[in-house]
Amino acid sequence: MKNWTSEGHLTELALELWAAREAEDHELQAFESHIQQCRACKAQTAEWRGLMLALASLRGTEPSESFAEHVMERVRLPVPAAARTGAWMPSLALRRIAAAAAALWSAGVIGGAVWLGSRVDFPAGALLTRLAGYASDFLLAAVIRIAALLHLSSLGAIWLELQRSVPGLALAAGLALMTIMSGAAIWTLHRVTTYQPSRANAHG
Amino acid sequence: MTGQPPAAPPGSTAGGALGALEDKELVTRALEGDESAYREILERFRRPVFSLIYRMIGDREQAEDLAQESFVKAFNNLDSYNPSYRFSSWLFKIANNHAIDHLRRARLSTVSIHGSPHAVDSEREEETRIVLEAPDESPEQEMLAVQLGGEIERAIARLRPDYRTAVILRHIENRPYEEIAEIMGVPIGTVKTFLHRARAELRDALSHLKEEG
Ligand SMILES: [Zn+2]
Repeated sequence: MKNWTSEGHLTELALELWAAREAEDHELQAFESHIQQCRACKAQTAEWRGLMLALASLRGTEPSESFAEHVMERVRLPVPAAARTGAWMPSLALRRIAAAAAALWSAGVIGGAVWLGSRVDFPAGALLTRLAGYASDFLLAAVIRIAALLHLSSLGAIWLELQRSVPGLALAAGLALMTIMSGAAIWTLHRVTTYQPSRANAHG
Repeated sequence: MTGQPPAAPPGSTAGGALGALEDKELVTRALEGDESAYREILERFRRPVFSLIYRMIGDREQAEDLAQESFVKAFNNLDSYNPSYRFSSWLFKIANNHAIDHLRRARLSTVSIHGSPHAVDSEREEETRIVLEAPDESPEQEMLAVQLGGEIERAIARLRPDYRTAVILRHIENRPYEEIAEIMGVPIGTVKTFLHRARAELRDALSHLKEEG
């Protein structure tokens, strides 16, 4: 036990801690038994007890009713996962570039088809039939692409879940996705540029 | 299982669904973008945070602003909270620093009063007996405590700011020494010293007033 007494009486600190009940139980008991026997120390406790009583009467103060609203107006909430599911493409700029590339590619395919048709000197009817064939192929391809996009966005949702649990995964998977998409684009370009209209040549 | 109240399942839509969560779990949810977690944190801490700042600076309107700013700062920097500490400590620390900064800017740090130390004589002992004799508060004691309330508030307002912080956190918010040390960024021994000196000043302030009355 610390030195709680001075000249046979409890120290100021001991009296204070006794009143505040801020000492070990056995210490408080020792203080208590001294105070009960010692008139001088008992007299000293009066002021401390008065103070503790006054302190105990203090209550917290409520802020205004609109407090929480005012705070929430100024808080930047982290973007919830649900709002990010459509954002599997890295940025708006990249999305614009992708849209422009898709438009160019489509124009190229149609232009190429027309050019090929003009080169092989087709009868107009056969050319139209051929173009209609291209168009239906193109539509089919578009349907497949839309399905692929939907598939990708659902993958995106799964992806966000993964991303929340495994940090650092986002970059790796983003890169992988870009690689796959680039590969598919190059492959498609290759197919288009090496296309030989063999039947048209045979006909000519 | 029988006799135990059923615990609200996580994510339940019941009003008190978040009420059962620990502060740290609420922070995790808030960081996931759950707005209701922010509101629950506000519900838990708006009174103590406002109370602390209000008593620190003494101006209700400014305390309201400073308390709101403290929450906005805490919420917008929630990712910098280190969960190895109590969340309440982190939040109180932001609030207390905000109040201290305000006092510094306004050069408002108040002067402490110096009641003359005096011996207690038997007459004064008699006067205070009604308040102080019985260990449990009687109605008369409570009434006296209410009267003392205004005086103690004024006496607290005259303490120097670090003593005031310690007294408010200990006696109004009932925080343990360790947490007060975390909030104030000082060792526990310093908190004890602050409290001892602050309470000595407060005791003298109240005794002085009693002599007059
Ligand atoms: Zn004694």
